[in-house]
Amino acid sequence: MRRELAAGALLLCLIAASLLNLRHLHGLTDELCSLVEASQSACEAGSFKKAEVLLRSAMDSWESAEGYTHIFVRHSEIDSATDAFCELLGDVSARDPAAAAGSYEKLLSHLRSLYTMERVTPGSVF
Amino acid sequence: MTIVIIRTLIVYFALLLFMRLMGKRQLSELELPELAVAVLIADLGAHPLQDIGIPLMNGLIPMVVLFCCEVLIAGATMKSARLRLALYGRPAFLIAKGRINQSEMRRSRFTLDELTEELRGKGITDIAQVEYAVLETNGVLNTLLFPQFRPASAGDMGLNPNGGGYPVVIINDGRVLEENLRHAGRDRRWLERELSRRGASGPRAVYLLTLDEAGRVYYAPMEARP
Repeated sequence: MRRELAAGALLLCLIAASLLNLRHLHGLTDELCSLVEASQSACEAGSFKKAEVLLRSAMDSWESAEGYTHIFVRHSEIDSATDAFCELLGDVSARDPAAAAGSYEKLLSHLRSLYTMERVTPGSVF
Repeated sequence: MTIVIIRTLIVYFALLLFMRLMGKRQLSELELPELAVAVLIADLGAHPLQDIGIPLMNGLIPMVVLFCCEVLIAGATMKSARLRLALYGRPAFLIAKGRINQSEMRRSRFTLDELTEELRGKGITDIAQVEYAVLETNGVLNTLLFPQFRPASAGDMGLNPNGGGYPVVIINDGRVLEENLRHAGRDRRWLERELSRRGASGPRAVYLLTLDEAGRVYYAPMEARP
């Protein structure tokens, strides 16, 4: 009976840990999306310098979370998001608002998908 | 390359640990839920090894989940006969009182060829000798012959032979198993006497030495290594 209780407790711990992980991922992607959206607003207002600073800050946050993301996120997703960051940074540095608009959407979509893929919905389960 | 090696080692030891914790039944005759777990675990372990783009956690966490499920289901089936029946099924009497139960054969999807093949595997060529053939829930076919075809036992012959009990290994490949020696109620002095009686210079000269409850010693000297 002790063994079954331990297995049940372990399973509950795993479920709790997965919910905490989901919460952490939500927090991380929310924080990154906020910074990218702020950068997008600055870019649309023509303030490319501010947009670049905000974007670099978002990229630093993304890179500093590497220890976590490499353990829990598919590496192909990490690479896609990093590529999207670099592409957008290039567009913002080049002061190209038309190209940047598309790149912003691409990066935001990548970042949001990190959370939506993990979120428990009928769609993500099946 | 190093990552693949490290991942392989982690997955290998995780597999060993979980299979060990699940019990020895996983190693041979598997019931349905156990088979499902064994197949899934092997596959889960393989994917992160082949693709280092998949986080190792994606392989390890499902292994832990399956292990927990297996332990919980095994515990629940110990308590509930109904659940045991639902998950493991029930043994099928393919032959009962010497008669082939055809409906049971159909229900178990067991052909006559498979039945005779299984019987031949047990050294039975004449189906008429079989009183009972039971297809167990783990897929093993157990048979019971009619009394006249069963091998005669000592009891059938009115004999009462003395058994030597379970033999204990005292020396295994030159190593003395001290715990077994104590368990057998002997000491080093007894062992040295037995060895010198057989002309062995010491335990290193012995490949196998066992002692049964009747005090009989089996001795196999170590052969010279090429």
